[in-house]
Order: sequence, then structure tokens, then C-alpha cells
Amino acid sequence: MADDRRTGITGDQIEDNTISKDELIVVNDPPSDKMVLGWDAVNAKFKWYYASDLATRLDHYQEDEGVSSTTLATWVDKISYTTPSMLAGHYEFWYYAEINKTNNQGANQKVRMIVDDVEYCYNVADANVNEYRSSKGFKRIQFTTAGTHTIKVQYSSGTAGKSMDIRRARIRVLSVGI
Amino acid sequence: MYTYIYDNISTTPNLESLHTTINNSINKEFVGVSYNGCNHCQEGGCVHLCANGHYHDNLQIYFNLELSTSEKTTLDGIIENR
Repeated sequence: MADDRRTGITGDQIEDNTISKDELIVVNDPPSDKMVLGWDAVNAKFKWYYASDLATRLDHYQEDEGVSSTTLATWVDKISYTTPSMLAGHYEFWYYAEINKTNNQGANQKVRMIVDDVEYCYNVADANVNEYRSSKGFKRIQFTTAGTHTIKVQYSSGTAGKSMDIRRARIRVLSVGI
Repeated sequence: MYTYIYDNISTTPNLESLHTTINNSINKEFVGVSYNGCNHCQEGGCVHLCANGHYHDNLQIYFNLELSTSEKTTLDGIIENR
């Protein structure tokens, strides 16, 4: 007798020849689009996902290309981005930015990336060089529950009162394992 | 921290000079100044709003203590005549 919980897709045997309804429905009001098979890294098994649900959370990108400057020796936001609610899984957070002192009297220049108020990348550029230098880094994080997350690129002068510049700040959030 | 934001700055101010002027004029644990340029409005007259309701092109002044009305007037004058 046919199992009415199955999708009807050939080869849909996931666990014990069945998949549960809960595994199929990842949102309360599921869209009527195609389903794709994805790897659930948290539970180490394959699951079916709605394509539209995956598309909205696979890749998030923000940028602020303009120049910002500060005399603060405490952290100032260049980009602050809060994601939509993302499912549990593995994600990578990437950033890129260019920093320089504002003039010849400048101090060291600092830049960092934080996710949910935790610092994961940090870079400081020496005050003796008057030229934009790139700074980039990434961090892979596993979230065990669904939710939103805030990623920030922040910058700071090494000496209060001395100015530094930041430009071409970009961040990317990638889903790298469901 | 208290932040005072001025929109439509249009041209990059001399932040270090501005920092010194404010630091010498207002005694409210001044922290520093930041300037954000707008990548879209290179000619000034920024019309792009940030999430916080201000224009992309803005100047932010930070103090640890809140300014009185007269101190705010002083700050307005410094920004106006920078």
C-alpha cells in the first residue's frame, strides 16, 4: 500500500523508506514551487527543501562603497546588516574593506568584522603608510537554531582626534551547509 | 553615548580640525566625529536615506554626556561655520 506521506518523486527514500511531513514543510505557508534535496549538516542527513526558501537564504550581500571618516578611537559602524531569519546550519561571513589615514598626521587605522557582537576578524594598518590597503577575512559559523544574525564592519582610529578613512566595504553571508 | 547627526554635508570636512574645535568648545566628554559620504550623490545634495532616517551624507558627533540646549546651539554654530 502506498505511503501517502511520500512525495511521489522517484528515489525519495531518505530514512527507513519514508520521510515525514514535518521534514517537507519548512514554512507554515509553503510556496507552491519546486523542491530540492539538500544536505542537513546539523542532523547529518538529506532533507527536502522548497527552492524559494533556499534562494532567499543562500547568499546575502551588502556594500557601502563611499568614503567614511572618523576621529573616534572606539568602533564605528561602516556596515550593519541584519539577515532575515535563517534556518539552522553552517554559514560563512566574509568582509572586504579598504582603509587609510586621512592625512599625513594620521594614526593607525583599525577595521574588524563582528557577527552578533562577537569579533571574528581584525586588522590594523600602520600610520606610516599613506595609501589605501585592503582588509578582508571570513569566519564559518554553525547555528543550531533558526534566527536572524547581525554582521558589522566597524572601523576606528588608533588615536582619538586623528582621522582615518574607510571605503569599499562589502559583506557576504553564504549558506555552506544546511 | 549621545550622537548628534547633521545631514547633507556634501563635502568631506576636515575632521581633525573639527575635532579640536569641538573638544575645545564643549566640555561634555567629547568622543569624536565621523563623516559618512554617499556613494550615490557624488555632487552633494544627498537624497538617499539610511535606515536610521538620516541621509547617507552625514556628520556624526559623539559625546558621553548629553548636551544642554545652549551647548547644542554652540555645536550647531561650529558645524554651520566649519
